[in-house]
Amino acid sequence: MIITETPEQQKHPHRFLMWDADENGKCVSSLAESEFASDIHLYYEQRAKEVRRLLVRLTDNEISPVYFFMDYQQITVKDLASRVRVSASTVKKHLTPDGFKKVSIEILQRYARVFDIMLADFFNFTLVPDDINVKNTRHNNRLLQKTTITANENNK
Amino acid sequence: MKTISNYTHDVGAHCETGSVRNLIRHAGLEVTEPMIFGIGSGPAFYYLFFAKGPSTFPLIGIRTPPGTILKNVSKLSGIDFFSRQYSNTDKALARAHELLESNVPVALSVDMFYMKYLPSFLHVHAPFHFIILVGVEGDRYTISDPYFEEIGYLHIDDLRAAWETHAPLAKDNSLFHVKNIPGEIDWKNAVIRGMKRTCKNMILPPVIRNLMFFVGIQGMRTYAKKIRQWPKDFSGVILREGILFNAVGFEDQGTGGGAFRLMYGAFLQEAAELLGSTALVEMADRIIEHGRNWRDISRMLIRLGKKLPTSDEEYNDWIRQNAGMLDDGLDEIAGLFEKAADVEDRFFRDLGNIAADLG
Repeated sequence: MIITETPEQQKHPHRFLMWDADENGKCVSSLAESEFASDIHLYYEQRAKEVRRLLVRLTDNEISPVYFFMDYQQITVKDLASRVRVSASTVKKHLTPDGFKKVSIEILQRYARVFDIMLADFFNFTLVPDDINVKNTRHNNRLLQKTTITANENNK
Repeated sequence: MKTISNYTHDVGAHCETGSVRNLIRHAGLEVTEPMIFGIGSGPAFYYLFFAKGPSTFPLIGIRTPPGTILKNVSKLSGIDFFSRQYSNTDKALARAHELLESNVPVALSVDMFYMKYLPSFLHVHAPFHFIILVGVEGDRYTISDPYFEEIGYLHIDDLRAAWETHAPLAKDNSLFHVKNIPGEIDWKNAVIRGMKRTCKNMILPPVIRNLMFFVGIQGMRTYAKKIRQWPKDFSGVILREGILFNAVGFEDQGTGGGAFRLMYGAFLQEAAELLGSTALVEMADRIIEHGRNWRDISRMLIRLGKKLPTSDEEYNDWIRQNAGMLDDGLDEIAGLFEKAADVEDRFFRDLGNIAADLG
């Protein structure tokens, strides 16, 4: 998994279609950036902290990579189990470092599909400074990934 | 390569109503999103205490379950939709390709998490997001998504992951499209029946109300009570994010603002004009005012949530010093939600009576 130095921000403001009454009392719609945009920005910062907190727990061998992604993507055990097509108790086993060692590649591919990551992301966490661009491309049903590293022209 | 000709992409406040409207418009019938929302009996309230949402807070539903609006619109307007859930994505994709070849845009129910063209903060695992396929070129699909101002593009791998999730209650590999628009539609009848159904959904009969304490007006009251308990049930970052998510869910998650109540006001204004009813004009004003008040409550939740610390490590010290402030703030907000429940109670009873008088 690629963890960038500066958390990902909303590159372009996203506008929502909102309804409200105009000065004549007529309810009309308009596209507007969320009035909670600054809170969304805070949310990104919070999530970036969360990644680093989970990474410490992962490297301290407290949690498994499956736990890392489940917690980060805020999926419940029940939801994850249904999506991976295993029982909730099986998922719970995979959340521990010891249980994770017993996951088959086939099941790991199913987890990878749910989390939209590659198998390599379960085993490799890359901390990337802002002056570097790292791009992974997936191959062979997420089994293999190709990594391209380039200088970030914007940060030169 | 196949791209639908003459398709006009338009944004919507909500993915289901926006997609249904775009399909109907493409089929040649002009209709507004609020009209689809109103006839589809969109407004609702569910406090889903048994289902966890983001930050492990219980899920709140403020509109009817996904797919219900489509069903209601089809039934009440007579617009014939083909709707089917396929056993696997290959079959669903094959059908979608046939439809695109026939110049028919096709709506799908997918997991929003994989919609790469949307900003990252909308990449959440919600397997009930409606989009319209309007083209395909090799492995790239052209998407009309009411939440996105431009046309979006999805790789086939992302489309497959989004369309077949195996998530609980998800309608995997399901699609729908307009089959036939009747020559004449009795919009007046559809509007009245849509209003009646909405009132019925919001105000349950007394006996059922006690059993279904999490639905409709009673659900709003249950939710208000639970707000006061949040600091006992949750703590740390989870509590902070849960408070913020509740507010953002009312406003920014495809509601059009004020938990869909403002869009319902637009529907009632349109209905008033269609039916020549001054009573409905007044009802529209009432629900618009209510929607605006709901937005104010959302803002209060945001202001309060932002006061909580952003790390679990700081929480214990913070709560020792601020427990009273947090309890008072949540108590005030809970009180406002109880008032909001009273407002909706009176509103939907009155609307039900007006709808009964109209037909």
